[in-house]
Amino acid sequence: MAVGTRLLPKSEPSVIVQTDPATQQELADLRAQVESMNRVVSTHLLTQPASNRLQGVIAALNDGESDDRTLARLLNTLAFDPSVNLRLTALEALYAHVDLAPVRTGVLNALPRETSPLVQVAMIDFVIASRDEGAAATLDQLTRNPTTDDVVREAARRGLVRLGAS
Amino acid sequence: MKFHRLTVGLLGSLLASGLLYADNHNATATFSDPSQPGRFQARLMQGEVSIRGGDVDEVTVSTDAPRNTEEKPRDDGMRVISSGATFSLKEKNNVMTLDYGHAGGWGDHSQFVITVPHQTNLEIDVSMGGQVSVSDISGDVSIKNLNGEIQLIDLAGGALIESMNGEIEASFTEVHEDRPLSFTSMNGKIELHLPADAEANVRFRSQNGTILTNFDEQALVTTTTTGRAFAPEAHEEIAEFAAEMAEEAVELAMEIAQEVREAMAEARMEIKEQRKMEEELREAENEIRDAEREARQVAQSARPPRAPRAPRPPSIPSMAGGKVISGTLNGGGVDLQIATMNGDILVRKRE
Repeated sequence: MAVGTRLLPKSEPSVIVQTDPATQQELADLRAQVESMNRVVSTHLLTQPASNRLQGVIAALNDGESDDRTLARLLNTLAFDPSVNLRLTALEALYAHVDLAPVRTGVLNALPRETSPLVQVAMIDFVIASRDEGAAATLDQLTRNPTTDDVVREAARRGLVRLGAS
Repeated sequence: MKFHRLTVGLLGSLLASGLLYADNHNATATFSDPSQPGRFQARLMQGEVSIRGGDVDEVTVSTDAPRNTEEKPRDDGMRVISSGATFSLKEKNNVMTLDYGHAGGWGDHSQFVITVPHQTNLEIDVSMGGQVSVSDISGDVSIKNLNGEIQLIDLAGGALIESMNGEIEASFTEVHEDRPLSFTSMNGKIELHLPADAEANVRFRSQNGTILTNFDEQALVTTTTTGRAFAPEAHEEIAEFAAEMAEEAVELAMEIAQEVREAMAEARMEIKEQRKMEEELREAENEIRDAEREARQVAQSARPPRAPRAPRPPSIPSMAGGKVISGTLNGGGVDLQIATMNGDILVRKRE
C-alpha cells in the first residue's frame, strides 16, 4: 500500500544464522530506518487528502523557505506523491532553490522515474534551466528509452540541443 | 393489448422519475459528525459519477449497479464464492467511501447519481475512466480520471483535477486564497469560468496547446517565461522598491497629519474666547483625526500588504518548446495552476 513498502520490501531475511553483532546492529538500524521512512511516506501521502497536501506545497511555494525540512518535503512530494498536480506544484516550488545542488540532483534523479509525461516535460525545462552537470546525460538517456512518451522525447532532444548550443 | 399498455405505463413512470434503469438501487448514509464538513470518497474502477450538493444532511446514492450484500445470507441459501462487481457505501470518522469494481470484476459502465451536503469535500477516483460531473459544492473537490469528461458546475472551494484524455470544464462562483486550484490534462482541453473579480496567481503551462482568455489585459496580467528567466535579484529589487514607496507614503501621511495638528493648535489659541467656534473646531478636529486615521490606513494598505506574494519566485521557464505563462488575475490571490500537454487552455470571465 505505502510507496515506501513497495520500494523497500519489508520481507524478513531468510538467512537465520547471523551471529556477528555488528552486522546485527546494522540490520536493526536499517530496519528502523525503513520503518521511519515508511512512517514519513505514509503520514505525508496517505493520511492527508490531496487538497490539504496541495495547500502545504503552495505554502512552501509562497514562503520560498529553503530549510532542509521544507526542501526534503518538496523532493519527497516530487518523487512519491500520487497526484500529478502535486508533483508539478512541488517542482515549481523547488525551482526557487535551483541554485542548491541537492535540489538539482533530486530533480535529476526523479526525472527518469516520473510516470506523467506532463511532469516530465516540466522537469526537462527545470534541468535545462538549472544547467546542472548531470542534465545532459539524463536527457540523453531519456531520448534513448523506447518507453518514453513521444512529446517527452522530443522535449529532451530539444533540451540537449539547447544545452549544447549555449 | 393489456400487456402493451402496462409496458408503456411502466416506461412512462420510469421516465417521469428520471430513472430509466430496470434495476435501480438506492443507498443512504449520514456523516458521523454533521457539524464538520464530511469527506466523500468515490473509488470506481469505471462508471459515470454525478454528484450534486444539496440542502441535505445525508448522502444518497442511486445507481444501477448491484449493492454488495455479502454480509447477508442469500435467500436461496447459497454461499457466495466470487461475485460480479458490486458497490459498497461505508462511513467512518466522517469519511464516507463509495467503492465499486475493486473487489471482484471491474463492473459494467454503471451510473452513480449522488447527492451530498454542499460543504462536503469530495475525492473521486475513476481508475479506468468515465464521465464525472459535480455541481453546487463549496468543499474542496479532487478528481482523478483516466478517460471521459470532467464537468464541474458552480464550485466555491478548492479544486485538484487530473485527467488523462478527457476534457475538463469548471465554473466557480467564488475562489478563496487559501483553497488552491490545480488542473492537469494530458490530451484534453481545460476550460475555466471564473468570477470577474476573482483574485489569483496564475501559472499556465502547455506543450502543444493554445492558451486563451477573455479577461482583459488590466485584469489578467501575464508574462511569458522562456529562456533563462531565473533572476531572483530582480524580484528582490522590486520588493524593496515597493517597501520603500510604502514607507514614504506612511511618512508623508504622518507629516500631513502633524501639520494639520499644529495648524489646529494655533487656531485654538486665537479663538480661545469664542466658545461657539471652539465647539465647531472640536468637531473639525475629530474629523481630521478620522481623516488622519484613514490616511494612515491608506498608507498602510500601500505598504506591501501582499509582501509574501510580491516577490513570488519565478516559474520554471519553458526551455523545450512549450509555453509557460505566469502572472496575476486582479492583483493576485489563490494559486491557480493549469497544465496540459496537447489540449488548449481557456480561462473565461463568468458572465
